[in-house]
Amino acid sequence: MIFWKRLKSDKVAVICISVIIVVLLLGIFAPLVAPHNPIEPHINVKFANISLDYPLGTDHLGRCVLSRLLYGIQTTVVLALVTMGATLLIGTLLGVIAGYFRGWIDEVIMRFCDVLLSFPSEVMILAIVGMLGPSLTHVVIANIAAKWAWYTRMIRSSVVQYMDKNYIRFSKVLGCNASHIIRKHLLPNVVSDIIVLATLDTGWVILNISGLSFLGLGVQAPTPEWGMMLNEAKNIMTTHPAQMLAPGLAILIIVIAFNFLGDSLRDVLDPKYNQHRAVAK
Amino acid sequence: MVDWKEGETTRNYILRRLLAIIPIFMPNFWVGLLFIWMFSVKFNIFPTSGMDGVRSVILPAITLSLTYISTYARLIRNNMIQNKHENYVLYARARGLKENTIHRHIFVNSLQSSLTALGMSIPKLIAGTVIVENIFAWPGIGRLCVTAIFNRDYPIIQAYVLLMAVLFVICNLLVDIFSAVLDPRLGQEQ
Amino acid sequence: MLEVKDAYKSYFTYGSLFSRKSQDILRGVTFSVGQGECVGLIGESGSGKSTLSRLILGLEQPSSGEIFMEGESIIAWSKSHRGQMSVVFQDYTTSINSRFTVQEIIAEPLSALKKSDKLTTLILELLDKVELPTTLLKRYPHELSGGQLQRVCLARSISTQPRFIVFDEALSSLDVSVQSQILKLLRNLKNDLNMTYLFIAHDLQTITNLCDKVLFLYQGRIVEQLRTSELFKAKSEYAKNLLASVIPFGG
Repeated sequence: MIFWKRLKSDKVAVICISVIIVVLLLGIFAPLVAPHNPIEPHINVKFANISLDYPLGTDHLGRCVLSRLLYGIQTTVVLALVTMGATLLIGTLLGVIAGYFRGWIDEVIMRFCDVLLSFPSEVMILAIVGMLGPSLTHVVIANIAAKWAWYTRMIRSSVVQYMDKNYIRFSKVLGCNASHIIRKHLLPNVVSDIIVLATLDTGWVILNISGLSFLGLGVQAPTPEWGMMLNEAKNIMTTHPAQMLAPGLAILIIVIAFNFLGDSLRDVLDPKYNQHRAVAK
Repeated sequence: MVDWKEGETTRNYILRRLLAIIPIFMPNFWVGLLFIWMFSVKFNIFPTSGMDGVRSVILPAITLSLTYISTYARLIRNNMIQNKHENYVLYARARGLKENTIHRHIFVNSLQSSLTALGMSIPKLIAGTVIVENIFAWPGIGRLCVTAIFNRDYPIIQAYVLLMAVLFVICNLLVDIFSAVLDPRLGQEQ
Repeated sequence: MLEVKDAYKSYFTYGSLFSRKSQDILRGVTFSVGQGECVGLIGESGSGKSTLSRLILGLEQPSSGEIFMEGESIIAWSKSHRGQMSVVFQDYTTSINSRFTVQEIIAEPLSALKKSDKLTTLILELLDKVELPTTLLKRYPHELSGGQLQRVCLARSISTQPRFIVFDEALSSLDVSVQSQILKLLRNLKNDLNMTYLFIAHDLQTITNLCDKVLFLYQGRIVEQLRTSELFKAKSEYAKNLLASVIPFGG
């Protein structure tokens, strides 16, 4: 399709997609790729230098930093994607229901979203984690709870906008049922609108999960997680500052990859923006 | 202001974009740690933690604001590019105004949306203080909240959340009032 | 076939936060369209033409009054007679989902209503009817010209062999040469398939060319109903002015 062709011609997008896919594969196959066990401490080799055996050295308990990074992908990146997926699912479901059927159900859903949105999402996440107690599942739940209202509203407004299009009116006049209109017309358009936001947001979710883990509110030791690793590095900063580099860079790279990909997707999907860029170039 | 440079190569464009974007996506807990290591441990200019005097405010403040500095630079830049093509600029040129004056007009008009964005980023700032207070060991309410979460001290968590909500509302109100002052169009009933 | 009885429609416009005003678009519209008839509805912009067409198509409910199709209310009728009513809109760019190819666009009503046997031959027949080359089948909408797109819309709307079609200013966004081409096409289709047309437009020429009867809609009311052959008998001020501007009388 045109979409893929255009995306392929965007070098930045191709690089970002490759980075994300490679990182995800590394995370999924971490047990095969990682040279060491990420949890088991070996006190006799603590703070080992970079070597063939330990490509990124070891931490204060003698655990291989590279292995911990690789296993950390499973927690941070995969969970961020799960969070995003669940948020999108809830948002699409409710947004399409509200936007398609309108009437009282629309009012109920939207007023509920209004209540949730009148509250800053960052504080809400903190409040939910605070009430449920520190744990990774609670962080994920909090993130979904704080985000779904926003997505529901975005998707609803997108649906309302498409419902006004003549091709949907045509299908309605013809007597097509709701599921046909939603499947054939609404979902493809709405999803392509929302995918940009979701991609951009995935970066923020990763930052959020690792930030909360850094505070000790998310992942509990000894599970490897990037924010958690930074927290451990914090305590030994004066003696071994290099420990801060690997996890921080890992977070930075993956977050930037998601953001650049989001920007590229927007360029590809929005012809107007494309023209603007062409003119500016 | 970093304006769009015309006729630059793709590689330069990507590099410049990277440079502009890295500060936005550097996790602030990492930035804080790097700052402490660089300025406190290595060069010993600022204290590592605690709150005594002006000198201990500098590092946390920079850590917290780094993201927003580049966000707003980007936002204002985009607005300026947009405003540049507006008719009033063309008209000002035609009247023979000085380039400096025209740029000032463009700049003031570009500030509007960053002001709205400022209102929206206040909750993010609030969440940011939680992390920064923890890194720099400040005795602030963000840290109090995290300690309360660990101790399962629900009343304190509730009080924190309530306070933040009130603060959020007040900030938004202030931003609304201020933008009405800045842009007279908003103050009028339509 | 179609009967509109005293239809009113008003919309709310929000003034300030607490007051809202209602604005009447249609104020008691009554008319009927017989089987196999071709009726033109003419009115200036803002007279309520598009609102009336939305009511007839069942996309919106009238504030008061009723609309019947073969004796049933329009909502019930369209549920039991799927694919028998169709529409061509003025704005062909939003009439078509830009993700579909021409083939998918024309096939959509058929496959949605599960009449999918011999789909490809049917599509080719339809393309032939609207005089489009078959090479367009795999093209996307943005690769077609406006006239071609509107003909694709037309092919799509007749694909289910509807008995009633509304043309909501379907021609006014086209070039004059394309207009006349499509008019010819519509006349042929009318004879072939015995369809009932409701033709909405703001200029008289297209309507007189095709229709048996003309309704004049002015400020939400039908001010005059005339047979096309008796247009000179117009009595109302609006219809007279309109006619005078197009056809010089009494010369």
